[in-house]
Amino acid sequence: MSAAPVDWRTRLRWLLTRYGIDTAHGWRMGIASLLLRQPNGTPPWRHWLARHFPHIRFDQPHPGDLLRIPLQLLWLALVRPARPAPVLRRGSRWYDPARWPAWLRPRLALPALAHGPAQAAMAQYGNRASTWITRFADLSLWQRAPVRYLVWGIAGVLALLCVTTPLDTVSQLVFATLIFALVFVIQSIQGPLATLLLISLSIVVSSRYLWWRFSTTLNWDQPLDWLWGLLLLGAELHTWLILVFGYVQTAWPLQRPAVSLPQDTSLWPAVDIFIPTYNEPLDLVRKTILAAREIDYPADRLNIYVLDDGRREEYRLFAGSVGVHYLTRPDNRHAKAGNLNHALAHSHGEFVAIFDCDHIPTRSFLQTSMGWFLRDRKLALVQTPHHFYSADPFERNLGTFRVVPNEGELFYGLIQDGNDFWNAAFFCGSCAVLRREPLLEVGGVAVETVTEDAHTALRLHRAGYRSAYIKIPQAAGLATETLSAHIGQRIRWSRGMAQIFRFDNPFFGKGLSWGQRICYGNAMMHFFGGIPRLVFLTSPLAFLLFHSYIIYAPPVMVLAYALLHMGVGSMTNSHIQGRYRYSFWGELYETVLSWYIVRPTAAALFNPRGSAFNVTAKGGLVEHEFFDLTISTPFLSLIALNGIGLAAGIARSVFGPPEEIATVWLNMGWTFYNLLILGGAIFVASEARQLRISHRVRMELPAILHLPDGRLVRCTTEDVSMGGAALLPATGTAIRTGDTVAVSLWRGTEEYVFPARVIATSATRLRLHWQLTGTQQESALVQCTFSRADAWIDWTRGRPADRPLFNLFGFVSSGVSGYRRLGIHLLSRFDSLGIRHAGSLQRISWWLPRQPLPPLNTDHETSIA
Amino acid sequence: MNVISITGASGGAGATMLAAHLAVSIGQQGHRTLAFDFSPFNTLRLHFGMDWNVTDGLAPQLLAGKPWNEAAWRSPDGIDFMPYGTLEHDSARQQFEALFDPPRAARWFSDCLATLDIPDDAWIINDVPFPFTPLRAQIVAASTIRVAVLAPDAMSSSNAGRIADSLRPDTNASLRFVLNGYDASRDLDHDVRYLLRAQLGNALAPVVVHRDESLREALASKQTVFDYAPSSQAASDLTRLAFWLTAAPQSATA
Repeated sequence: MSAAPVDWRTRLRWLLTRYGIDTAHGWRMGIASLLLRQPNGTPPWRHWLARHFPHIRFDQPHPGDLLRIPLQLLWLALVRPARPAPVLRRGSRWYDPARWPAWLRPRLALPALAHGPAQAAMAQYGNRASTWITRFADLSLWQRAPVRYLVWGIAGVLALLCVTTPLDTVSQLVFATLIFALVFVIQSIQGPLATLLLISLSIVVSSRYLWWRFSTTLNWDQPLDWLWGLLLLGAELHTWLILVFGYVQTAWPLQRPAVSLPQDTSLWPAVDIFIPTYNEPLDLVRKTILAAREIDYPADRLNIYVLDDGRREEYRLFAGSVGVHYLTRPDNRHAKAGNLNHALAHSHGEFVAIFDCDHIPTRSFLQTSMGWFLRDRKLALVQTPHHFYSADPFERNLGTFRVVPNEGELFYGLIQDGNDFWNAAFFCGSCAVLRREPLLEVGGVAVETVTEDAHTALRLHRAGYRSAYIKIPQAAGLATETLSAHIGQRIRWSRGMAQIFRFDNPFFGKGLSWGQRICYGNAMMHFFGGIPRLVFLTSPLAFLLFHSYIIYAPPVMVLAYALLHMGVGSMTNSHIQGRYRYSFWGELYETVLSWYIVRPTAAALFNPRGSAFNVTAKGGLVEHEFFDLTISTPFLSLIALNGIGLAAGIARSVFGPPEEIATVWLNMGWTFYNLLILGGAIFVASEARQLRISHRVRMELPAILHLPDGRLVRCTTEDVSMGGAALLPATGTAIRTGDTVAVSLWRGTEEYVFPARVIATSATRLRLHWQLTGTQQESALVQCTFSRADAWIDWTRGRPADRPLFNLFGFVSSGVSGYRRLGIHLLSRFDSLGIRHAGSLQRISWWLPRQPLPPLNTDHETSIA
Repeated sequence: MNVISITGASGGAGATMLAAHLAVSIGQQGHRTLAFDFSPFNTLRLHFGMDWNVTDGLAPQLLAGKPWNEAAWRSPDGIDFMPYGTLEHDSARQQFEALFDPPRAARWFSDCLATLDIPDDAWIINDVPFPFTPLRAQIVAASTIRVAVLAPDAMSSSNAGRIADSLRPDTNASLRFVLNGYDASRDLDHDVRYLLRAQLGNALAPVVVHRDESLREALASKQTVFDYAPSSQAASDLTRLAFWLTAAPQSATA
């Protein structure tokens, strides 16, 4: 295509017109128009300027701009501009990749790589390997005992060789690389066999590490080094024990299905439901009582007992009005355990179901849990998961509710299911059914310890009875509200476990299989993790501050051994626990608790009959955001120590002898990691607000909105609580705040209508406040919402399996946020000082370059390009 | 070809409403539908937006000795229907019904259907009120699905057995019951539904049609509720009811 030649003046005019300079009235007027008046519409270059210099006001120039503009130009030249961020996922928080600064992304793209073609090929290879392994395992050869023992023997000898053979640095590095490659391949294989393989590998390399540590890295010549080293080795031994016991516990989750009761309901045994309470508000307990009344079970064989240790009149009246039994006792001896025992003496059902007063059972609870009792006469206990519909303080403060699995999900999702394989599922105090006869045979609920539940189960197991765990959430309750309450609860558990360890040690005594001993033992050992954790948090300081070689080995060797041990361990755990626990987040839970459980466990170990315990407080409010300084003091001191260590490390790497520099850096890396965990702990300690007494639970249920004019609109609930609900109507309504409406919800096929008042409206959502009239409606509401049989089944739907690198980023960013919050709180604490500092911070940030804003639309972008 | 007859257990139970909405809803499922009105009140046509003053319909057509099929109409939404037509005097109505007194035209309806050039999965929906004249008895006899519409009151539950007897003299057809005008905030509605479920078992539709003002307003504006208030509960109920009726035509019996 040929174009007529264009004279350069015309070209220039076009160009100027494009940039908003009108030349139609002559050059001078054109330049004047640029200076004196706003051209029609904002010219594109202004958009460009505004986007790329978001902090600079070109209409109000400032002398500082002389520095700010070059700084920003430098920034623009060096840093990739942000792409428009995609719409955020629901419930996403700061760790959402969509909200990462764009310039960080390329460096953190590793997890995405793992899902490329290489991964697909790996999966295919894994599948083939899996078939091959299965075929090998199916050989009839293995059925012969001598062959089996022979193979065990050979494997044992090989493992022993593998653990004890000393290698030089290069060989150990090669060994580590090969093991990692092997683990990486096995990890992509599904099924229990791959899990067992990973477990064996992990145990072998971890044992090798310990062996190496013990045999070559203790410096016996220096008493201080030796002492520090031994302390660390002790901590590592504890970790190793927990690791190995944990593998035994979770190697083969039983995944026991529910068994149905016989068709003939006259064969169903009588059940007493106990709801012990002490100081909880009636509003909290009402739901539980009302839901228990409506459990699907023959009415003549279901008795409900409210066990009120608070001896409160309103409880007695309420129990009378809804037709449930009300029991009190003259004293409060042995707290909950004593309360339950007192009720055992005043009731007579063949079975006893126990619910903490805030655990709302679903209507299907008994039909799900009772079946196994009729099938197995020696079965004494059926436990179901404790499900929490509110966020625990970790989840609330970290913003991870329903996104990252919490502490309980590992226990009820995997550990109890694994225990069940060894016939060692234990009683957790609530949401469980016990057979009365064996319970009375072991002397009722155990009163010697403050964790009466686990202790009772241990006694039942010792007496030869069996337990079962059914992993179907059939009741839901409130998580602890504040961090201090959470810690208080864990202190009680750790005290109780230490007491059992003293009174009734599961490793000794008769009646237990070795599997049961390991499962119980691990539950107790877990709570002894406080001291080892503190040792890990302070160990690198021994070198950085006191120049004590606690691991007496060259740093490369340390890495070659320790990284293998930790890496294979965490990859194996990620393989086993992926759905129930995300890598690194668990560290946070354990670190926060470590300090607080040290003293109670130690005290209970040495003086098991010591002081009383506190009841876990629930249903409270956190009215203001606050920073729990009492709780975080130990972490602040640890941070200070590690900070000093880091400073010493920097000093040493500058002034110290050059041959030590690698060791310094290794220890500084370790300190840095510790500082991150501690930052996360600080983050947890700054409490976010919690203002609702009835928790709104996200629940998508079909509903009908009854408008005042008699029209009915189809809708879905967004969230529901006993106080109100949010509705998403299928169409816009002319409803105004304050209108009275009604909402239909269903219990099975039965429809119930609940009156409500509108408290807020938006284009797509109505917020309602229930206006219930009487207990009957309240009961119906519980049945339509919290006690539906499927209420908690798909709670974790859509949650991906563990992605370690992704979780590492979330973990790191929570650590960093911890320090940010700490800074804010400290500044606001020293008020006048704070304002001055905040001002200077602002002054500094005024000079800093910014990320350019995303373009308004692509037209401008292309016209610039 | 599937033939449905819809009969109200009592006056005002909502048979005509149901007939009109089933025709639309089954049509929306992609089937060819044709709705017949055999009620002298001639109100089916109002759901389809037909002008009140137009008197055309099946009865005047046949009385005038013209072919029946020329009395059919098509609504703006493409629903084919046959209005009863307006007859000025009772005598004319009697005259029309007398056309079918035995032994005359005993197979008139079946013959009509046989002449239709429509696919096998087409649905013929008939609004057939009590009492059963020879013509109406003939329609019911030709129907493979017979639906009784019940109101949530004492009369419905006490009458349900009798209705079942009169709707099913033979076993070739399935009998279904639909509860219309249900209001869950009234205790009696719960009780009636409970009784009916015990009495009728699977023959009672699992979906009730709620007492929804949108339905009355829709008729007042001569529309179906699908057009008038598509996100109303009534629209949802009627759609699901149509699925239930068409999903397994022969499975449920009383």
